[in-house]
Amino acid sequence: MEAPRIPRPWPLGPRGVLLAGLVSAAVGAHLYLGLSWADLVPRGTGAQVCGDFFAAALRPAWTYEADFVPPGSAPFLLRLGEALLRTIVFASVGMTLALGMAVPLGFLASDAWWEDTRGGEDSRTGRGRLVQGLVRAVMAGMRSIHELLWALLFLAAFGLNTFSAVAALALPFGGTLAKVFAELIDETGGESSAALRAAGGGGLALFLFGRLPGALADMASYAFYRFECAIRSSAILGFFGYPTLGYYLHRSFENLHYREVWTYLYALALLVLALEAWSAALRRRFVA
Amino acid sequence: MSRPPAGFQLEGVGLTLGGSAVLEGVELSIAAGDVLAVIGPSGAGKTSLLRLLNRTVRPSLGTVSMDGRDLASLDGPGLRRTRSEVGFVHQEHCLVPNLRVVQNVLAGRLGRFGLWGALRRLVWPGSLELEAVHALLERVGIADKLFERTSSLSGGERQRVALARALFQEPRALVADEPVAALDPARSRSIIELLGRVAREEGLTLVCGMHDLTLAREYFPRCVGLRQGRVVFDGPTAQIASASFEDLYRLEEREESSD
Repeated sequence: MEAPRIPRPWPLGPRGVLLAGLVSAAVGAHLYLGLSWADLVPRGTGAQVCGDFFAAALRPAWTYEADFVPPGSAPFLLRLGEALLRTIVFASVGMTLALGMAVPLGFLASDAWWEDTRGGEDSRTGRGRLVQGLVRAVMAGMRSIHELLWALLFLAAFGLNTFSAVAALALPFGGTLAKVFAELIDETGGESSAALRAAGGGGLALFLFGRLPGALADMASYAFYRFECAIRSSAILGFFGYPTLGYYLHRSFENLHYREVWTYLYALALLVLALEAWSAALRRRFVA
Repeated sequence: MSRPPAGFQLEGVGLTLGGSAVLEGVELSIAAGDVLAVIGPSGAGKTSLLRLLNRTVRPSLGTVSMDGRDLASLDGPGLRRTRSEVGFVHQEHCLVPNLRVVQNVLAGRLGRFGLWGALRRLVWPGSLELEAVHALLERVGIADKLFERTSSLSGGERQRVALARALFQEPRALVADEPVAALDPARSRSIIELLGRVAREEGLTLVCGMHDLTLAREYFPRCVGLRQGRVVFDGPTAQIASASFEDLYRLEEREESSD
């Protein structure tokens, strides 16, 4: 006697269809670009340049590579140090402004803010929804434009000054930080703040006492990660002429001084690694 | 405690949440200073019943009143004041894990602080308050944890902090919603014992929702049995037949197996 068959669902469910669609889109994009692995092998003078460039990685420069250095120029390592310092300063000021925007925007964009400050189970007022929607739209506008594009815009508008560089960093970073802050705050779960509301708490005090502490460690850790990103972006802004690491990197590259290029790259990598170690140490101290 | 304990009256209370009836026709009279356990299986409506008492939940039908005043009529500051008079100890997750124990206890009076008061206490609590919190922690047996981070405490210690916070509210009634559901039997017993002792010493009304029949019968002079949103028995624990207690759970099993 044959055992009765248990009906089972078709293996290609909605998730399977989605996966298949994504894979075929990726294959389609690959075909569209007509990628060829042979392009990875440099030919002709390209091979020479490529060889020179990677050979220089093993011998980073400690002094200027140029035969002629204008009299009165600072020593190479001193200039590197100045460039690094300015890179950090631009990133720090940009991040400070970004945080100044992200904290209030992130609070207002979170659902938790409106829940805690407007009496919990009672439905949110129309004005609250409007403000939250507006804030979210502003945040989306800030972060949908890359910092390099903001830099181009501000360069055209204000010229090559410190403010344009810092604002170019602050706007997209502020928008991204605000979005993530809002999500982190909403992810904390409302149990502790609901318990404090049940004890008679409410308003901004409830948000600050019952909700924010749960998200603060993650917010700080994300802010540190964004600071790393800001350091990299600040360096790249130098390509537009701001006096950060990218400015000197760009010039050395154009002059085919690859050993100097590698020194700058190593310095940037070391800076980011040091920052990561520092932020990890801080996180351990605050979260544990 | 100088303030008199609170009494509650539930008349014809029905509660519908998300289209399904959670409580039906509940009549319950809790006199000032009563100490009672609300027992019943999961899903019987215990949590909802307890939440009616500080108006975290509003009844769909009937009235819930505290000292003769209909809780449904409360709003704004009046509601906050009434809520602060009911110390609520939750199952778990009710403390702010990243704050220190002292701040979690202080949070019991959050409604009275105002914004600047709250901010100040997050950073630097006053020394008088510190002493008051320390004294409360001493009563619940964890005075040494005053400046500990709450997330580093064990489940039993956290419930002691929750009780200290509820007491810091200077409540007129204590309501506990399965306060020992996440604890092992020995710790459950010591927490329930502590709750009962504190309520007796302070002369507070105590309403405690729980699963454990043995603990309920041992520590509570009055038991209310709840099943599928209805009160099935209510009276002095000594007068309730053992069979009634066991029926609460046995019926549920038969229903589940008939699904």
